[in-house]
Parts: sequence; structure tokens; C-alpha cells
Amino acid sequence: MKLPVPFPGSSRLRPQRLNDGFTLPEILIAMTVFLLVVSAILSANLFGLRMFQMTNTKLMVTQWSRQTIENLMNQIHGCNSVYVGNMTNGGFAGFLPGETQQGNSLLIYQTTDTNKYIIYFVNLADQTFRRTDQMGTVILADSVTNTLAFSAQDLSGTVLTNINNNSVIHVMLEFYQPARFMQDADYYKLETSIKQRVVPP
Amino acid sequence: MTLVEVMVALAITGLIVAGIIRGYIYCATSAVKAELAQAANAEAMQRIEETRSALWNTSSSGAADQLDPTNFPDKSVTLDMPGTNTNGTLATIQTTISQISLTPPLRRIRVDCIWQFRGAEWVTNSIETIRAADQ
Repeated sequence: MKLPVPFPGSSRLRPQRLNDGFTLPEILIAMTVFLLVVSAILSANLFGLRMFQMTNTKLMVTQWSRQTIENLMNQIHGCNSVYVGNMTNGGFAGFLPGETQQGNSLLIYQTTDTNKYIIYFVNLADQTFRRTDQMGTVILADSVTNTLAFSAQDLSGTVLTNINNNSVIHVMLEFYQPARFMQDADYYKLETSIKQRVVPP
Repeated sequence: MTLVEVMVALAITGLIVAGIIRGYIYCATSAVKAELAQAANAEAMQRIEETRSALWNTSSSGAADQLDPTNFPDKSVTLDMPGTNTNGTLATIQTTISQISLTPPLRRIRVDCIWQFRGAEWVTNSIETIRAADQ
């Protein structure tokens, strides 16, 4: 009668150390490889996050600037009258004839009714760009660094000293954001000119 | 695992990682190009608005004509965009004004904003409008 061998390890032909577990070098190599893999995954995740943040910021700013400028253009194109001035003590102060038409705010009357107005202005206290009307005030952007955001210019870009029907409203907003987590400091300028279409007789 | 199996697995992993990174780079490049195109469009629109402010009166009492190409020479501008610390991309604004009708008096205004994307591809953003006199 031939008795079966209980398990291969018990055979005299096989070395006994097969069931002894891992050696120290094996463990160290395995841990090193594991650490390399984990660090690679972490790096890939961080890279992905950084790319997402960069792309997201760009798209958000692009979308915001497109919407804001488009709204502003539509309002100026179709308005009854538009004035450049300064926002002081919560009120709009326009320029007198002969004064340089350049200030921190823009007053738009959509109709002849002066109770219906829209004012865009740069708030110097907290460096925000705001829109205000009868309904209230909305912050449109922050980190605005320039104060003279609006001006009335002629066709060659010269700032006028007396607003007339042929002036073009020039808007320039400069933004600065200090360095933040995973993002460098950034400077950005948004500039456009808008001409009122409907000129009342 | 044999050495061949390991090599094949590594090769596949490398291909996948390269594809993912290429996708990231493509997204970032597309976003930058879209921003530059928008900035170029804004610059062209700005010039259109300036031409709109030019006096062009045909009435006998106060005839005036500032809507002339000499008043709108080529101009170099910088296409600024957020999220980058570079100085922006240079662009050239060209304005073409042509008479398309005398009665009624109508002129075509075409503004081209020409810029180069990353020193390789030339891109032109054009805006065209028609303007009547006495506006």
C-alpha cells in the first residue's frame, strides 16, 4: 500500500522554507514598490486637481466677462442717456462741462424716467465692481485695482472734456489676485468700448 | 508573472497615462485658445464701436465725414487673459471701410483682429457691420 503525501511541503524533495513567509529584503522591496505606486497616484491626483482648477478659473472668468460685457453693451446700446461720473457718499456725481470725463462710475437711464436707472461703479473701499439700481446693489467682481474704470472718449481714444452724442464709453477693469494655494498671483485687464445707439433728438 | 507579462502591463499603463496627460494638456490649450479668441473678439468689437462714434452726416447743413480709413489706422494691442502670468499675446487690429451704396448712403466696416497662437497658428477674428449716414 502506498500512502499519499499529506502536502507537498512535507516532501523531502521540496525545501522547507516555502512556508516560512517573506524575507526582510522581499518585504522592503514590496514596500518600496507600494510607496512608489501610492506616490505616483497622489501626484497624478494633484496634477489633475491643479489642471481642473486652472481650466475652471479660466472658463469661469471668461464666462463672467462675456456675460457682464454683453449686459453692459445691451444696456448702453439701447439706453436713453448715459453719464460718466464718480460715486461719492452713496450717490452719483456727474462731471460738469469742461471736466475730464473719467471716473469710477457710469449712470445709465434706460428711458426718460430718471427714477429708473442703473449705476455701475468701482467701490474703492473694498475694491469691488458693483451694479446698483432701484432693486438694490449686486457685487459683480472683486479684486479690482483701478479706480477710473469709465471714461467718455472720441473715436481716436482721447478722453473728452465734454460729453457729446458722438462719445464712446470706454470701460477698463484691472484685476489682481495674490498667490493662493496651487495658484500663482495673477493680473488681468478687461477693456471694451461701447457706443450708445439711440441718440435722442 | 513572467518578465514579458510585466513589460506588456507596463507598456499598457504607460499608454493610458500618456493619453490622460494628453487629454489634460488639450483641455488647457483649448481653454487658453478660447480665451484669446474672446479677447480678440472684444478688441475687434471695441474698434467697431469706435467707428460707430465717428461723425458721418450727409445733410447739407452740417456735412461731416469722420468715417474714413485714415482715422482708423492699424493698431497693435495685447490680448490679456486671466490665469496666466505672461504679458499676453500681441495682436493687430485692421479696419477696412468701403462704400457699398450712395443712395441710401451705406458703408461696410470690417475689423480684423489678427493674432498668433503660441507662435504657430495664425488666427483672425473678424467682425463686419454696415452703417448708414446721419446716425
